Parts: sequence; structure tokens; C-alpha cells
Amino acid sequence: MQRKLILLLIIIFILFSCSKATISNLKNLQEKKLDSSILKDRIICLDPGHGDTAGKDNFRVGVSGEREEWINLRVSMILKKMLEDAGAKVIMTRMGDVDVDLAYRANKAIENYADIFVSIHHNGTPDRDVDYPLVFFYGKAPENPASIDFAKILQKNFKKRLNFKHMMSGFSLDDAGIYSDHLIYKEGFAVIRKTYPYMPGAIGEAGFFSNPTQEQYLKQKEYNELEAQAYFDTLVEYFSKGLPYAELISPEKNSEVSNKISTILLRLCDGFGEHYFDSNSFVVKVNNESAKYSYDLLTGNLIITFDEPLKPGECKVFITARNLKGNAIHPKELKFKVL
Amino acid sequence: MIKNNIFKSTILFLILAVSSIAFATDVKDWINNFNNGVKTMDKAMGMKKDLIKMEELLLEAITYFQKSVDVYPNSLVADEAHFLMAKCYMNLPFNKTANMKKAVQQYEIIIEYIPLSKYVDKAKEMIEKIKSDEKTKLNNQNSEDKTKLPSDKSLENETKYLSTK
Repeated sequence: MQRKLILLLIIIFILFSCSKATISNLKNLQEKKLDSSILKDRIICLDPGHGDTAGKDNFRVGVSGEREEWINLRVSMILKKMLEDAGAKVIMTRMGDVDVDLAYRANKAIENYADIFVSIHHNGTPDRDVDYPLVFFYGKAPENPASIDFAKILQKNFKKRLNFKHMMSGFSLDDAGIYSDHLIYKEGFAVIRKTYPYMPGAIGEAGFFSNPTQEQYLKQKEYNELEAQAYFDTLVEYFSKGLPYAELISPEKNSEVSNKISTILLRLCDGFGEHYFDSNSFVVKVNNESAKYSYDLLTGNLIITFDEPLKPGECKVFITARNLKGNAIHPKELKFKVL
Repeated sequence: MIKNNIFKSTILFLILAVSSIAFATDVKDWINNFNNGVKTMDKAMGMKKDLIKMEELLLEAITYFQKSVDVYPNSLVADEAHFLMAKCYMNLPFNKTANMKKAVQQYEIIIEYIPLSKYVDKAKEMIEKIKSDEKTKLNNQNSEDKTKLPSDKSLENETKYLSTK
């Protein structure tokens, strides 16, 4: 009887060890999925929001005195190191508690040909019970699909990594979404409005410093590290799906052409050196009007044809499509002048 | 002296209490207006026999929802407020065409500005429904107009009449 009991205990021990090993393997697999080498040579602009507002305003501060710009900078500096360790080139719009012009922040990203613009903020509202993560994107969702892709992943990672157990009763984290900056200002937020013609971007608001519980978390470096990790995971996941793009071949970008042209030629790349896109995801517009086009997935050539000659003036081409991993082409500004 | 101090303390306490209630009301405007909107809308939906009253209440509900999103445009109830505003516009008993357009505007705000909202699919569905209803209405109007057109025979008679005249 005693022998049987010992045998049973040994079997239970072996099974338990195996299950632990399996969980550990699964964790490793999950970590392996996020291969941060994808960040190598990527140019990422980090924008720690605000700066040097202590003497100017009294609303960007929590009840115990923690200021938003301090948290923004701490998280950004941790993230900067994580990204650089992974081989990315990081452009910072500010490195200290200084006030930096909004146009300067955007220009820094544009001049350095950043692949993405990430503005790091935290939220505040007079209602101290409110606390949830949110992400802002510029403009209308259908016109900014790449930023939406990024924003969705960021919101998912905020919810996964950070603590919102103290949310107001009657609400759940599922209620927290991503929001257009046009809900706040008609023109949107300057930094993501100015960078929009060049790169995807978003403003992350990982929690409310005006909520006393969240403020206590946000004051801690360990918690800031978790938030930085959420951004890091997001960037790895986003870039691992490729960065598809479209370029204007003929007429050339910003060139001047006669109104006798009957076609526009663009070349599309899916972000993996190929030209594969979901055929149902194409949106092609010329001067805000849907355009006729044909696409050759072997060459990546997309040809837009017109029934009538183009009117003289600026001609804007809007194009987006999703690669097979689901990432959308960011509709960069592609324009030329018709004489 | 003691009575005087008690009196002063009571006054001070009352001032503090009243001001804190006022402040609390102020910071909770986003949710208070939303809740008032829901209550008013529910009341309006039960007034189908009194269309004047129904319209009055639906317009009141719209004002509450609008205040909620004005105070806090990206609140956790913003998408629902826009969705319910659209519902109110759709149920307004008069000026149907203009109010349908306003409902579509509210649905578009959800689709374009709050794309992860659980109301996005429903908003798209409703826009499609409104468009298809409009099309049906237009088709019906056209066919009605066709039936009102004078027949060839009557036209012939009319021409004859005109020519004789």
C-alpha cells in the first residue's frame, strides 16, 4: 500500500514538472514570436509630450504632485534605451524637462525620415474617478489606416501590460478604444497632423495621472518600464507585419506635367521585397474621387487611367492597400502639378 | 461666544458642502448628461401616441447626449452617446428627411472617429438601411409620378383641343 502511494506521488510529481516545463516553453514561444531584431535600422521618433509646464499651468499634475511631462519623459527615456539596444535609430523630440515647439517636434521626425511618430502622453480630467488607456490618431479612420493599425496594437498592449483594476464601476476595459483627434479639435493635434503626410503616427495616453491610484503607479520607475515595454512590444509587432509603401513613378512626385497625360503609374511594395496585397483592400483616389486602376502583383505596378483629361492645378493621389500580413500602406502625400 | 463660533462653523460647513456638491456635479457632467439622455429617450419612446410630446422629449435627450460629448468627447460613453443621438434623430416624428441626415452624421462620427467602438458595425448597417429606404422611397415616388402622367389618348385629346383653339 505504502509503495503504491509513493509510486502515485512520483507520477504526480513527474506530471507536475512536465506541465511546468510546458508552460515555460509556451512562454518562450510567445517571447520568440516577438523577434525584436525586426527593429534594426528602423527610425523611430519618440515625442515625450509637453515639458517645462510646472510654472505655467496647474492642471497637468496629479493630486500628489506628479507632473505629466515628467512621466512622459521617464517612459520615453526607458523606451529609447530598449529600442536602441534592439538596433533601432531613435529620434527624441526632447531629452529634458524643456518646452519644445510642436512644429519643431514634427519637423524633427520629418527631417530624419522617421518610419513612425510615437507621441507619449498621459491623460488628465477633472473627474478623478476616470482612468483608462486610450490612443489618438489623426483625422478620419479610413484615411489613416496605417496609424490605425499601430494604434490598435498599442491599445491592446496597454490593456495587457498596465493596471486598470480600479476603473469606475459599470465600465470595462473593452469600452476603451482609439479616438480621432478631430473629436477634440477640428484641426486635430498639431504633431500628428503635421507628420501625417509623411509617416504613420499616434499619441498614446496610457492612463490618467488625475486618478490618484493611477498616479501612484505612474510615479514608479518599475511601472514606467511596463509602459515602455507595451510601446516596445507594439513597435515590434507593427514592424514585423512589414511596412508597405507606394511610390509615384510617372509622373514623378512634385513634377509638372501637361494635361495630356492619360495614366498615372505607381509602384507598390508589401514591405517584404514583394508586391503581394489583399485585392479587396485597395483604395485609389485622384483628387478625392475614386479612380479606375489595374494592379500587377508581379511587378507591383499600379496604373490609374482616366476617361477625361486632368484639370489644370495640383493633382493629389491617395492610395492604400493591405499587405498579406494585414498592415496598410500609409497614404503619404503623392502629388504633382498639371499645367 | 461659543454660540457665535458654532454658528460660524455651521455656515462654513454649509458653504463647503454646497460648493463640493456643485463641483462634483460639474466634473460628472459627462456621465450625468449621458444618463439623463438615456432616461429622457426611454420616456420619449413610450410616447408614440403623443407625437408632439415625443418630439419634445427626443430633442431634450439629444441635447443631453450632445452636452455629454461636448464636455468629454473621448469619454467611455462617447460612442454610445453618438449612437443614441442617431437613434433619437431616427425616431423624431417630423422633418424625417432632415433628421435622417443628422442620424447619418452621428453614425459617421462613430465609424470615422471611434473605429474600435462596438457600435461601428451597427452604425454601418444603419447607414445602409437609411440609404436603401431613401432609394425605395424615391423609386415609389417615381412610379407614382409615372401613374399620374396623362395617357397617350388624353394627350392626343389635349393636343386636339389646343389645335382647335
